[in-house]
Amino acid sequence: MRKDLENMFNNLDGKAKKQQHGFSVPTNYFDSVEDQFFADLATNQFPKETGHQVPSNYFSTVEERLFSQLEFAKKEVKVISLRTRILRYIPTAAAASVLLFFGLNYLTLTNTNIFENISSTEIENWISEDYLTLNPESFSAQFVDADFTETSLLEDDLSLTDDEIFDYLNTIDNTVLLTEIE
Amino acid sequence: MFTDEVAFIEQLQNAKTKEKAFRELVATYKERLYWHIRKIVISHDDADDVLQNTFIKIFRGIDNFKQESKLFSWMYRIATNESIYFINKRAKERNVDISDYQDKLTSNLESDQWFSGDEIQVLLQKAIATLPPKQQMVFNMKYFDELKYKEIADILDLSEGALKASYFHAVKKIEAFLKTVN
Repeated sequence: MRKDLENMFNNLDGKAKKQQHGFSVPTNYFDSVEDQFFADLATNQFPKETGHQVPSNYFSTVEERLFSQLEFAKKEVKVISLRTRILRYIPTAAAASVLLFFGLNYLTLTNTNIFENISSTEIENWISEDYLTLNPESFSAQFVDADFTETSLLEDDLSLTDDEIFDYLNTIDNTVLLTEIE
Repeated sequence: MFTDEVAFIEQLQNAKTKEKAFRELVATYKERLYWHIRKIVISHDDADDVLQNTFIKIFRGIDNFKQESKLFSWMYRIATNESIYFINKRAKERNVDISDYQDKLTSNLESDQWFSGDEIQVLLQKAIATLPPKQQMVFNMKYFDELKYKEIADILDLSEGALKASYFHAVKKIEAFLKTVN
C-alpha cells in the first residue's frame, strides 16, 4: 500500500513527467512568459494600423526613379572609338605620305635632270630626223603679232660682233649660200 | 523571400545578371522596407528619400555582402540605419533633441495629407515617439511588422531575451501614456 502511494506521488512530480514526454523549452523561457502574456494583453487595445497613407501608384514609380540614379554595367559591345580608329591609321598614312613625297620629288628631279642633260646637238638631231613634226601654223599661233617688230628683232637680240659674223660665214659651205640666193 | 537565396545572391553579385536580379529584389522588398522606414521617419516624403538611399546603398554594397546574415536582415538593417541617420540629421539641422524632433513630427500628424488615422492612432504614434529610438524599432517590428524575435535580433544585433524585455517595457510605457492622455 505504502509503495503504491509512493509511486503515485512520483508520477505526479514534474520532473518525472518531463522525463516521460521528452519535451524541452528554450533557456529562460519561463522568465519571460508572464511579460509576454501581459504585453499581448495590453496590445489588444492598440489599433493595428498606423494610419499612414501613400499617394496612389507610389510604389509603381519607385523602380523608375531609383534606376535612373543607378549605374548598371554597360553591356559588352565591341565599340571602337573614332579616336582609336584614327590613331590606328596614322602610321600607315604617314608612311604613305612619305613615300608619295619622295616619289614625287624623285620624278620631278629626274624629269628636270633629263631635260637639262639634253644637249642642243641632240635636239637638232631629233628635229632633223623628223622625230618632231613642225607645223609652221602651230608656231605662228603661239606668237602674237605684237611680240614681233622689226625693231625688237633687230635691236634687242642683235648682239653679234662683226668678227662673229665673219666666223659664222666661214663655216658655211659656199654652195649652200649660192643655192639659197638663187 | 527567395527560395534559393544563395543562388539569388550570386546573380546579384554577377555583373551580367545584376541588373535583372536587382530589379527583382526591389520589386519584392520595396513595400516592406518603405513601411519600416515610414514608421521611423513618419513623413511620406522623407520615407521616400530614405527608401531611395537605402536601395542605392544595397546596390552598391551587395558585391561585398558576405552572407553572414540573411539578405532580408541585411537590407532591413541598412534601412534602419539610414532612417536613424536621417532623423538624427534633421534634428541636428534644427538644433533640437531627437525626441523633441519626433514629438514635433507626431504633433503635426493630423494636418499631414498622407495620414488618415483616427484619434487613437494619432495617440499611439505620439506614444511610440516618446520611446527611445531602439525601443521604438523593437515595438514597430514586433507589433506592426509582426517579425519574429529571432529576425529582429538578427537585424538589430540584440539577443532575443533583450528584445523580449525591450518589447515588454515599450508596451508598458505606451499603455501608461494612453491612460494618462485619456
